[in-house]
Amino acid sequence: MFFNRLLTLLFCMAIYINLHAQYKEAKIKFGDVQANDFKQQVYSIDSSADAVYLDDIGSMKYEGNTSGWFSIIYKVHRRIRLLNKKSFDDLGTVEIPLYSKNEDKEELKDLEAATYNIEDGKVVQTKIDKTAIFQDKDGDYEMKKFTFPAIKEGSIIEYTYTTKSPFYRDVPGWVFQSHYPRLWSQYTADRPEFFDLIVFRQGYLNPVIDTSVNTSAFFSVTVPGGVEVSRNYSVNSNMVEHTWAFKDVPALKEEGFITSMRNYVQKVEFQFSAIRFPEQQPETFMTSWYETVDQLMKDDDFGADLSKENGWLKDDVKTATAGETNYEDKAKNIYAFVRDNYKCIDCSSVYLSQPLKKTAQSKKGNVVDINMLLIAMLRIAGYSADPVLLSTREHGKAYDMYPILRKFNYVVVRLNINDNKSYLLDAAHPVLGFGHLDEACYNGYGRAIAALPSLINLSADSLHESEVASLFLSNDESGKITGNYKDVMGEMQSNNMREKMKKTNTDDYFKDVRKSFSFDVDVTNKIIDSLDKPEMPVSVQYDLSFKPDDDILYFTPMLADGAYKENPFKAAQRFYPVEMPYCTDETYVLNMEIPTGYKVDELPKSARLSLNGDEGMFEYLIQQNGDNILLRCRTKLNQANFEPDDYETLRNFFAFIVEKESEQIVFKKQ
Amino acid sequence: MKIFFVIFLLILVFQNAQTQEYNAMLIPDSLKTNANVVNRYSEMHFTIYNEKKVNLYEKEVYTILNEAVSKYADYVTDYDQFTSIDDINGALYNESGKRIKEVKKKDISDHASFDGYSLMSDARYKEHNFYCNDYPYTVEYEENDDCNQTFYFSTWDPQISALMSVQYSKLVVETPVGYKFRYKQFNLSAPPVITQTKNSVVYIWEVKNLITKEKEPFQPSWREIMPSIMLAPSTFGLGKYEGNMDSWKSYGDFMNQLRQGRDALPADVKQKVHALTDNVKDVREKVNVLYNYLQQNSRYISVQLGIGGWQPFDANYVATNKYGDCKALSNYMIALLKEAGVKADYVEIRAGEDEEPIQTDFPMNEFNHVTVCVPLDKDSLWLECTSQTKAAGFAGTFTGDRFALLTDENGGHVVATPHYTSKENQLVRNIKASLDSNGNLNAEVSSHYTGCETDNLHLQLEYLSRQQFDEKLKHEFDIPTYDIDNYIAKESKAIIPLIDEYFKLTASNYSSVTGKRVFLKPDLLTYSSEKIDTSAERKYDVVIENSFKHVDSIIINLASDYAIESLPKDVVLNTAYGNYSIHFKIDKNIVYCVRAFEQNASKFPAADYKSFGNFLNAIYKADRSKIVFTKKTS
Repeated sequence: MFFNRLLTLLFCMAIYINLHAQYKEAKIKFGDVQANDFKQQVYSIDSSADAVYLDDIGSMKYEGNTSGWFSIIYKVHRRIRLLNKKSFDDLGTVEIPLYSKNEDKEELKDLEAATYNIEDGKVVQTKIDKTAIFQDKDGDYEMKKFTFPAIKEGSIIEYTYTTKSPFYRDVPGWVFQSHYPRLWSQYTADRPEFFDLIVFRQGYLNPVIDTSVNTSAFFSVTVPGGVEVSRNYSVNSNMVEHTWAFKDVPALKEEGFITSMRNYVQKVEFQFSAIRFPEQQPETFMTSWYETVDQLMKDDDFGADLSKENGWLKDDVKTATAGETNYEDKAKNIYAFVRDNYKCIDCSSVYLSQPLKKTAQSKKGNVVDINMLLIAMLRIAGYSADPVLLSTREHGKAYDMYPILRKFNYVVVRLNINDNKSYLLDAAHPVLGFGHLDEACYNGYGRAIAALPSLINLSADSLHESEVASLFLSNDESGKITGNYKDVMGEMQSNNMREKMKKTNTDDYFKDVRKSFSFDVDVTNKIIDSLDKPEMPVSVQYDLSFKPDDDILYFTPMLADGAYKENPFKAAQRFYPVEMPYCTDETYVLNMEIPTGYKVDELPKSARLSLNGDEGMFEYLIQQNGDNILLRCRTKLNQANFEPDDYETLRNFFAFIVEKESEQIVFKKQ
Repeated sequence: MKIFFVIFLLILVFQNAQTQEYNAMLIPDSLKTNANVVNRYSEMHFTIYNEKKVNLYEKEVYTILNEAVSKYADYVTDYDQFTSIDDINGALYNESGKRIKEVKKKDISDHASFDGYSLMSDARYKEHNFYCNDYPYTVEYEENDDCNQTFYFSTWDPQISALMSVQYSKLVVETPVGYKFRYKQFNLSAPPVITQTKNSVVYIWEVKNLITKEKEPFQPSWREIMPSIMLAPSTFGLGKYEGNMDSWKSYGDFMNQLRQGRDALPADVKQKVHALTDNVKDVREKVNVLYNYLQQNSRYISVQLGIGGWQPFDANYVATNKYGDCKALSNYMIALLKEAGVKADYVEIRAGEDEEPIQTDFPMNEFNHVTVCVPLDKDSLWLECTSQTKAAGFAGTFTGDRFALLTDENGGHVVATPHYTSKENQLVRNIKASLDSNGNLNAEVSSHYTGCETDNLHLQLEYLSRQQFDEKLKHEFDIPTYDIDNYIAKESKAIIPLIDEYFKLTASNYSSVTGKRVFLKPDLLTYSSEKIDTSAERKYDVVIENSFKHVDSIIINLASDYAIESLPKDVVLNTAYGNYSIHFKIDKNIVYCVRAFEQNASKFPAADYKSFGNFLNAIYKADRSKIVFTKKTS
């Protein structure tokens, strides 16, 4: 819904630009920093900024290379005014990652960097010492690092570099926004017509330049001859040069309850889709989901192993299903077998890290290794099971229409029991129950990699978390109040509890429970149930007793962790939508006998509040019934996502809840 | 055929032996009590050939009992330019001690150690993990390293966690005859067994069957309760340098050697120094001016390569680049002061709030930082050269209250850095608030921080962006829903620095207003969060680390005239553990609350734990006292 609105917005903006094109592309020259550039001490765009990007300019284009094909030339030029020393650590040091794969290497060229200061009214340039450029190797990347000399508050730093990359299909995009404001940010992508790119844009801001220019160019490509003479080719092509520019880009502001800021930062990205030489069959890389499924299932790094017989797995399937005859329970056993015997050591991938056999032997792998193994075993046992691609919440949204694999970072399993019954499984997560996914997976949609590559709804609005806690209190002969507390947790809370209890023990957990009461209580018969039964909700139970001694007893009926003690929405204002991980439904029930010798002097009032009609509700129903007090308190949110406009209402809603739940019953001694 | 048979048999016997050795079920129960991991066998074996050649063999066999401690199954070994790792071997054993997997070379990963602040460092580490999921299991690793320095040795810690028990562990040091080598042992009763042969002397320490330790709040530092041995050389070599650390004096001589000839300033900086200080008479003022100049003209950038881990970049490097690490910036500061005719000394220190103190009677390199001391008649001035904002003379919690090594022309001397007590470390708050009839609170808060109480806020003001700082304010106080406006903080630099802070706080529904009652917690912002269980048996001494005094004076104007139903009792606790008082008073429709809490670093015997706990719990309760009013029916 929200995404649609954004698209409409972009569409409107495009029209706006055509009518009001008044800005020209910026061209800057290295070293051309004037005394004038230092005049401003505060920038109106953001008076509290620790640094401001004066110019942030990038471009990419293609160039013929000497290995018979094309390279991408990517150029960056930035000029930044450092206003406060707080920005030095962030901006004073620059790291440039260079990718390499086998023989192919991204190369760094023409790196220049300098600091400018004003001394006696004149601009003094201090260039970076070339020996102070360090390099570090990190996996497939070589990191070039340098730090600017002679920086102080008020300095301008400038750097420019060019990279040449043989990975011609990895087209670099551009991020126009960061934690520092920018006066000007611009990107130009220049491509020959025979390379097709799909452009993706996101963000809330309006570009001041958004133009496309058609030109033409010659490319010189050298085909290495090996033992023979190398040959040169000239390729003439029409060119499409697209430029985007944003003026006065505000700093990106982090906010809580958001899936990922990646979804909101202003940026442009590209997907290489096809090579179309005149009078040749086009070679397409961007395909439909049908073709993608086909490619993926043939890919050695994805599904190729699934089409094999995998006889070596049969023994494991037998072990896992031994003694079980029920069709569905057999699948559950296979799932539990994989979940409990294999360890996930990389939870972000869409490709196998090793052949399935290796995973089976080493008992570890990435999320794809483990879930593919689960599919293989399910298939051996005769089930229909398919991989499902998705992007976890922190990884940002994937485009639901396009099969762009780097937008995905996780694979789960869809098990079809029969035509109308299916389960989603994730054996890479050690505490999940059969048919459950972690909340991180609820990020819009997943895509089944199956004959029918259907969309699978994984909206946070569709995930409902419900918790029921109850407390019964009565008087014993000795004048003590004793009772029993039971909290049956929701699914996500149960998972968190299972993770937590791996790191601590029951004794320590209940020590904290005891501490959480504002008065002295004895806690006995402590039980945490279903920690080892992932399909069941975890429940926490204990008996408690305490002795009232004052003449007036102030008693908060929302005991211990049942209540909202603080408002989860701290900020007074909100810029982006609120995206909670799931919908909630929390119920708390208290049934208490009035303490012996006391009478009720005051009860909190019952209250009911709804949030924007039917988006949520809060209910606090309390009554005295003879010698008993009954309280039922329920907080329910029917959706997980809220627009920024609804923020204030939401904050007030929770402020009301916090207040209501802190109210006390007053008992007086008779 | 025969030979094959014999080999086969041998393997069988060998494997059987191992099966027994690492069987998790054979761990004595006493070692399993409270334990998450058992050190089954570990060995550290140094063979010192000479000052430039050392071999280190290490072996460790850990049985991991549950997932909470799976991190101990992760094998990580550090190295740098002076160390080369020859070989890493290892194996995984299941519960019954069967060898099920071995370390493969290609599964050992190699990484740069990212310390989080260095631009460049040659520190690296290798890592391996079997990622076993089947508890309990046993991992065995052994490693052989060659080092070409003797400046520092690893410390022997057989019990690296309170929840680790130790079945057997040994330390072996083998030296040539006549080689002098030093050690200091902690929480170990027996001296080493020393044997001498024709060519070598061998020292052996062993520990057996160490049970797990208790984790207790306010417990003494690790070194005071855990077994360990510090090792140090007498004469040593590091790169092309040689030295001796029998005494702090000779250790300091070595540092002088490393720094020799590194203090030459370029001509323009010299001119600048004279321009800034020639007309200043007072020495302290000269120091202030130059320290301020350093702060304005440099920043902290760490580059640690080889000998550069100990030897500062020269003054010219800092003058040109305007950056350096703690060594380079301190060395530069000393050079600036020298040019102005002020003598200052290079001080090596173990910096940080929770660091173990150095052993003043055992010279060795336990330092992690360098700072500068300007010796003056009365108090010396301490200069933290990596900070661009700290006040000259204030050491704070980072380098204050500890021993450090000052190096001057006569070598090294142990010196004490400034000591701060509750006289210096104070937070005094004045709060003027009003409460409306719906329970909303509006408050003006003026706070005055001094001494070490400024440390946190100072760092936040120095490093957090405006956005991050606002975020911090949102989580600062334990009030359900509140906003902060008009925030101002003014720092005043001095030997005891101070910060004046002012803000407006609005808290909606701060006080709960029911049908006829109003509940108000008058102690608004400063409250104890320490509630401890006094029923547990106490083993260790009680250690209070911080010294501070907090005073809050709160005045709350009530919107209407309420009748008091319940006024909390005043609490006054004057104890050896600290002095606490809270007073409540109501006059017409004005609530007065004054809270004061003063504590000084000190140590008490374990027997005091219960009364100490009662003291803390009483404060916890008193801070949360509520006044209950009833509305007058009009």
